[in-house]
Amino acid sequence: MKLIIIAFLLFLGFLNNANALTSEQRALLISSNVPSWVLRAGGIPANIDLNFATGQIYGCATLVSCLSITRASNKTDLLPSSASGFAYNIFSNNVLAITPTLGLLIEEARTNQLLNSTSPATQTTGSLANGTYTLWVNGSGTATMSTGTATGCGTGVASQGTPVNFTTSGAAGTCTVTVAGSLNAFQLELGAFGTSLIVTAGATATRAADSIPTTGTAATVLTATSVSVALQVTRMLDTGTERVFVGNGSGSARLERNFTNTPVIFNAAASALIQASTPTWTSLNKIGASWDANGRSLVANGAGLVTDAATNTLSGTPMIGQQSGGTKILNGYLSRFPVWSPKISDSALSGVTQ
Amino acid sequence: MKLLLLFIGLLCASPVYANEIDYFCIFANATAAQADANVGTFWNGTTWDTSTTFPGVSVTTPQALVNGISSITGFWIIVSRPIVDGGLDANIACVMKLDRDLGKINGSFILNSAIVGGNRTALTFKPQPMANGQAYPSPLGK
Repeated sequence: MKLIIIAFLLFLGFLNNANALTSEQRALLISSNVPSWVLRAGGIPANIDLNFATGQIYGCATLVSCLSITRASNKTDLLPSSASGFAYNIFSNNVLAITPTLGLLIEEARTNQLLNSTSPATQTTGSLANGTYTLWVNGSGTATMSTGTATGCGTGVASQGTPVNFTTSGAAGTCTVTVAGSLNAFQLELGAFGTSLIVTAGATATRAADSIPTTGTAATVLTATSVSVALQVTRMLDTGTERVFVGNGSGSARLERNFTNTPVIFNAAASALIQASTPTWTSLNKIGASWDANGRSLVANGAGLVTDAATNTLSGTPMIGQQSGGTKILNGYLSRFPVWSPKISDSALSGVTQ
Repeated sequence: MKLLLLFIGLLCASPVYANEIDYFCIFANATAAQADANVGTFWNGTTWDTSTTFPGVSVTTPQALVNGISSITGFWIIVSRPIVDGGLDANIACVMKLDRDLGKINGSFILNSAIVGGNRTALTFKPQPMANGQAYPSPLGK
């Protein structure tokens, strides 16, 4: 069928003078050679479509020819929100952490202060630096905080799906975590929200951050003058902080969720284009952004399109899930990452994010 | 022919290093680490690159001084590299180099160390890089 379409278009082009194919005919000609699963905007297939949730890749020979990863430690995908007994995956150093149906998990570095984290037992921590901590568990039992020598351990009780937070102050000291019932895993980490399980044995352990620069075709397309993306994110681990979806290799240009939980295209020179919605970031969200020499467009979940005349470009080696320098890391799942060059129409951008 | 090729391959094989080589580097303080010509490349002016470094680990040795710096009050940072790094190898602040894959199986994981004797065999550090299990014995024991 595709060959027939191609042949017909070529014949049509021959009759009409071979250089006079319309844009629609060109789009159809291109589209007919692209797998049907690749996202199309206004009939134009994405140049690159990385569907991490389904494991399908288009526009890159292999995933690693478009993305590289540095993470100097293992990693799991057992999250505080995971179901009790979730059969989590363990990813080796420098391997993209892809969970089927969810996508690519991108997180900052964290340390689990609890020992033998997959065989939870009552214990007293080592000396904890002051700060806000999160205790979370997986299993039907509970883990209860109490004071060791630190100030501020609290008395919170963590249970399946319900973490607790506490803040220590004054002289650094210890806290006690008391286990009751049956737990599959537990984690105590410095931070206002929990992240993926860090497996420990007889010593505390740190999960390194994910650093994911684009390479090859992905970097080339993202740094073009005219770009469109319609990325999908889900299960973001926190709210109220800046989290970058795709950021500049150097400098501050980025597409992100800002402090007020709204999608933003930010370019230090051109300032911010702010979309009005505040999605529920634990659910799947589709964020569409496009830019060229004439302006920028931004839409979330098919609604609330905003535009301006400012310019925006990514340069250097664009980073997935963080700003250059490893800051504002996504802390969530990137489910899909389709990219077009050129800037697709605003109606098409809204369409592919519905 | 296959045996010949295998033999040649074995003869030509360079040492097989781990997925991660962990360089343990100690400085008088964090500022000194940030300013170091090698280690400081992992400092972006605001934060350490925590995809490849583990700053501020706590290292304990029986003798508190390492390279003239107190192991208790100095600043330790682990720099993890997928292959040997010549600059870190030559950096006197990087006093120990370990092979993490061999560490996980308690093999011959000490690649190089200025810390010797009882100070090294009794050395403990935390947190360790997350591994499937524990990255290194604690104490090192070697």
